[in-house]
Amino acid sequence: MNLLAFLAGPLEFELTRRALLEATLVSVACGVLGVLVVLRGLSFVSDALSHCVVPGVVVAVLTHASRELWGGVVAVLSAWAMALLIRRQLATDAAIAVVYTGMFALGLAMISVTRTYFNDLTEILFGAILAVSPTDLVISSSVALVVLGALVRLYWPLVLVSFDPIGARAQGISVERLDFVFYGLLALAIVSGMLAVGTALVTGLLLVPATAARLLARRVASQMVLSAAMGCLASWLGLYASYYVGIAAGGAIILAATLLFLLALVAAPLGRIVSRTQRGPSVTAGPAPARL
Amino acid sequence: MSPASAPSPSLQIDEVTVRYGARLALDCASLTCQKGEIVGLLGPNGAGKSTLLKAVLGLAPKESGSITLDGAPVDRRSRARIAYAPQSTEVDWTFPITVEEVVVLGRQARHGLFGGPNRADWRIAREALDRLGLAAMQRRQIGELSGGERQRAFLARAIAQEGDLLLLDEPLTGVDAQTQAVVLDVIDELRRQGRTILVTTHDLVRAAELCDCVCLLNTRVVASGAPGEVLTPRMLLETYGGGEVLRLVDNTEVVGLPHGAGREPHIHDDHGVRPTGWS
Repeated sequence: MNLLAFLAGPLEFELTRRALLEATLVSVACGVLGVLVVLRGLSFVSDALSHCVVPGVVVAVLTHASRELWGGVVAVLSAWAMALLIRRQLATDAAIAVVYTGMFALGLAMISVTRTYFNDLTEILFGAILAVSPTDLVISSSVALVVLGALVRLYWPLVLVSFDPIGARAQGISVERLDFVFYGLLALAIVSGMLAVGTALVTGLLLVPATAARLLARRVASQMVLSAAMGCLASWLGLYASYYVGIAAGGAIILAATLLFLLALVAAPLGRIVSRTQRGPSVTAGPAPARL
Repeated sequence: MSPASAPSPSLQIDEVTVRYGARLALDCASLTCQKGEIVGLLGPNGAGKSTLLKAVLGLAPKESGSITLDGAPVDRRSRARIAYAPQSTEVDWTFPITVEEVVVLGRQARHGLFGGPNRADWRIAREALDRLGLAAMQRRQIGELSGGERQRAFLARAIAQEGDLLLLDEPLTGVDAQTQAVVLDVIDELRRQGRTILVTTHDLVRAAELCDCVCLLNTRVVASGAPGEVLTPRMLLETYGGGEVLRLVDNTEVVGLPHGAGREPHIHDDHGVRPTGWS
């Protein structure tokens, strides 16, 4: 089988075409936002949020309503509640764990009353990217556009607040209002990502490419580009692996992302050595060469 | 704007009390900074120097008291006119941000939540870096700088903010002699531009040379006024306690300090617990 035929294989089917598009949209939204999540040390918070969404999605399943709508509402409310707790310094790791395992258990209890319990749960936990509808695609495109648009507009304030929240507050910048928007975006990205890889793995889509990008790039903007790119690559690799080898798509995507992370881990020290050689032996001699 | 013109208070701190939980960090502290003046804030570790700066910026839990800038209470909008250089230990140094980006973000308040630096902002940021001898490092990641360079970068950020009032937290601590000279030079230049500067320091000699007014703080304000009037053994003893002041007096000959602009020192009544060592 030649390469072209190999690449074209999954594109013959409407569902795999949709899956590739969905994965791309989700990877972009999660990838760019994930960089700020990693830089601000909110990994655990984002993981908790993805679990908090579960009861909302279960309500949608039980009432045959829109998962995105219910999941989105619950995610945004949970995110803002979390932001409030963090500001009041009540959001210790233990407190977050209590809240999100509670929410997750509530979702689990609710879904257990349905006859299709096992299938429903599997879909919530691990996503159903090979079953995305055109509506899902519209929603994920909107989320990706909103996230990208907001990050373009709010890039500098977000960088400032992530790097030096005290300095930002001292300048009179409304950190609270900015966080309100940031946590809202995070909730949207999580709900959108949940459709693709499920609640159990959406954190991976947020954090793994972003962590890999952090190893390779030296500016927030370049980390965002790299993180989104690696997320997309991981999604495509995962979906192709899923198509040809028959492993679960969500798992394959996160595995591919993890593989890219390991490559970045190896590549990062090499890159540093190269840049040091270019700069010459003196550390103080002029500006460093521009690196990604 | 000339510092020689009739003095008008720029920053007025009135009976500010700050409590962190059960610990009293500032007890009824009052201080006036005239426009175009350098005011030195002196006191032992934990005396509330940084807390006083943070109270001005709304970063410390103020229990009572008022703080005004040019006669109006300090709020979010007027805070944009206050530039703050913190003690350089409070940020993530591995953050992917270049030195010039750190400095240009000192001007973010001008653009609020929707926008970023324009060409003029980048020019001002680079000038500030140049002024502090960091021009060659502007594209470095902030963590690649040495301790002294980091401190200068944050001072550059405060300068780039072009505030009327500058709050500098320990700009002379932990930096080499060359950096100290640059920093002192810059502070002096800011005063000539008519800026008001409130600076915390441990260095009595520098404070005496540099400041128009000094304030001795030990949770409460022990004394404030011209350095020659305030930096007396009695006041220092009351601020720092016994053993410390003997060393200070020995080393710095505080007694022989030149008199300041003739402002009467304001000696605050004892209403707190006397420091240990004071008899």
